[in-house]
Amino acid sequence: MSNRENILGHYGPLSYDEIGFLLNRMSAYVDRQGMNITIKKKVYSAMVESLENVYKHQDIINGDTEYQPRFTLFLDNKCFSMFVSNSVLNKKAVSLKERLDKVNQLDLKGLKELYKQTILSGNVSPKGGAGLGIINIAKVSENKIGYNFEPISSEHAYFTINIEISLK
Amino acid sequence: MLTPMETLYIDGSDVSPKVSFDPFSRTLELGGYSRPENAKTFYTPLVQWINNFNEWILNAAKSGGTGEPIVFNFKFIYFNSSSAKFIYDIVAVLSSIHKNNIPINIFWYYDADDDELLETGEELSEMSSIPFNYVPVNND
Repeated sequence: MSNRENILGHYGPLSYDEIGFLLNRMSAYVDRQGMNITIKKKVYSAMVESLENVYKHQDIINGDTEYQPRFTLFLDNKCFSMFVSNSVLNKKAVSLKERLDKVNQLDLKGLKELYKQTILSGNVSPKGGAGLGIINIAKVSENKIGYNFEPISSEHAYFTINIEISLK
Repeated sequence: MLTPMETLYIDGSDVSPKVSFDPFSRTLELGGYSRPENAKTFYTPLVQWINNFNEWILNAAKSGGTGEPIVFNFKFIYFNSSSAKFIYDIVAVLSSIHKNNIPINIFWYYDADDDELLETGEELSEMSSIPFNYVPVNND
């Protein structure tokens, strides 16, 4: 049996400053544990990409308190595991699911190739994203990205992404 | 007619890189952490500056000015995916300078334990067809 420890969490609308606060707390924790820089940078990178994705795309439902952005980071004896959730418009869910399924089908070589193609051809969205975040998460995690869309209403779903980073 | 150039200097922070572009010493440096709140807003002036520099250097070369090789130091610790696209845009302009036979040396510094950052440099070099010099740094 693995002892899973909840080492970091956030619930509520996510500000840019809060992302920095969460990153600093994770870095301090990893340093205290004496883990190597490779693990730290992978967790850092997966946190930046997933949390910035929430920050840029959180479709907050007015008056809702149940489906706000949520971030949880766990550690057991095999891996770091993060769960990152936010409400999204259903109309965005289809393309998001397609992108996740696509990266989950690729090995590391395929991911690197897709990353290069996206940089070479990708336009930057008005919110500053370049469409590389999900590919980057898959590259650093080297595990399939878990995800779930929980229906909220005819307009919204609660999207959760699960990223695992092995301690090897 | 040379495009007027000015030194571009921006202090680094824990979210945005230090920028030091000095056209007169021909030494340019970009490094630190890069996850600015809006990568497009941060990097667009940098890419514009490098494009102007490219034009300025080409005009100088046509007028017979040679000078020392250009040195570009990348000293990143971390950059996010939104920054990656713009860093590629900068490298693409450096590649254009290189293709015009203007001497340029690119140094890619990386933590000696950070294979991913080294690999990212190798990918950028390959994508832009311009050689990089890799410099491992020990942060003990």
